[in-house]
Amino acid sequence: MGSELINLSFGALAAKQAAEELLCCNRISEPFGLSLTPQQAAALILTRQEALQSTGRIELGGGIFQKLITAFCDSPYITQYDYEQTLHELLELFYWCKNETLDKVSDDVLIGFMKRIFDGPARGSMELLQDYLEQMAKGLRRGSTGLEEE
Amino acid sequence: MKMEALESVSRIQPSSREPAAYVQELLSEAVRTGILSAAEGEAIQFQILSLLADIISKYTKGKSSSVRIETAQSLLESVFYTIYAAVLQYPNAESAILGWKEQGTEAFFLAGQQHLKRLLDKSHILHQNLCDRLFQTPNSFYCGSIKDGISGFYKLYRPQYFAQETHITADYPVYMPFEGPGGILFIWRYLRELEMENLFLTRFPPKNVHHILEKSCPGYENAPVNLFGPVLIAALGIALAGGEIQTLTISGMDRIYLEQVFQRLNRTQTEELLAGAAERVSDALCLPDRANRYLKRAVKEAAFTVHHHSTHKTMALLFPDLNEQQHPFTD
Repeated sequence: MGSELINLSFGALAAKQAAEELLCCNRISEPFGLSLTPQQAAALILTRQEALQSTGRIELGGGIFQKLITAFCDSPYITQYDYEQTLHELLELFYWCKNETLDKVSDDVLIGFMKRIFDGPARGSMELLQDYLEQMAKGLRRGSTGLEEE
Repeated sequence: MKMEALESVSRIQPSSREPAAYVQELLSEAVRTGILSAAEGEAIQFQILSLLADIISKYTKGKSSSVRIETAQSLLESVFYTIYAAVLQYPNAESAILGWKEQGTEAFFLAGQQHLKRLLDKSHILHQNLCDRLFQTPNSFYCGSIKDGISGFYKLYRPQYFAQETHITADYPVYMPFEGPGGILFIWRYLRELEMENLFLTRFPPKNVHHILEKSCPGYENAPVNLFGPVLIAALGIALAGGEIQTLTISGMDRIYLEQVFQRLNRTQTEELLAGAAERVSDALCLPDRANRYLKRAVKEAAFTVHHHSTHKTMALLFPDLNEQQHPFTD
């Protein structure tokens, strides 16, 4: 039944809705010089699908693109040149981290944390961001609630 | 609508499969036979998906747009289980499908939720009554399952998200094991059967019940064995031997008589004889109608056991002589 769910949630209709949502986000990111083409949007939707599948997760409805773009579009470390690639990587990290934190962290808190690390100590480095997220997830699994309180 | 189509749908029996499989089969059969058009079938599928999205959002308190597939799968099973509960409110499958189509999935689902809630409330009362009147026995599984196990179920059960989950293992076996859905539908049926068995057991002196059980299953105190069955068979035997049923006492002569009676009978004849005895037992114990009906169902199972022991010349296990040994049970 799980695979049926995936098929339903990634059906043509759901993908079209997600693409529209993603292109609407250009209104948020354009003031910062960032935008996506329809082809880039389609590629990101595919990445989301693959990230969800590889992490064994499912997403009905959407909203995660808008949250990520709203949070990251003002980052000094993102340019139009690497905007799409950054979003691909952020999406993958996001779903990976949801699992690693055992779903203890809400979407908003996790995205907020990612943004602070990305702009702060990671200085735009995805590798460093991943290291920080790994440490944070380990702490959470050990029972630390530091992230939720931040 | 063709009569043939309605008959095809009504052949899908709810008790024969898990709720999720049943509901999906019901839907596909309704589309196949034309009770629902393909577009209506597809619309219902999207309504289920939309309902699932709402439930996921409530489950995560709106804090997460995604969940693990296992979680989504359990939540979806709960949706199907609740719809199944709504279907059970209809006299047959075809009227349920028509009701579903007319109301829409969300309203139909809510009707199922209300039914489950009513059942949960009723089962709480039944459980409390059962605990208050629980038969006193040294068998640890009896008290453990009925009192502690089911209380645990109420603590853990979340019908709004995981209505299909039973959480407990219900180690104490009822006399006639049943298959079917879990969750409150299982607990409700389990409690109803336990209520009847407990009612029957409380009609006898605990020390005599203890003696019967000790013979039929030595060490029964710490074993997950049914208490009702051996006592029922002993009572039926006493009724046939013309003894005093309430005392649950069988003499050596009674047993010899029963051995002679049963050795001449095949299984069907054994069942017929026991069915007559069950009426006498019921009268002697002043059992209510519900318990009588339960007894009638149980006779079939009892006949199987009696015939088996008669064939293997082990009737002493079913009809032990109360005077054969001192029993350690204290009132």
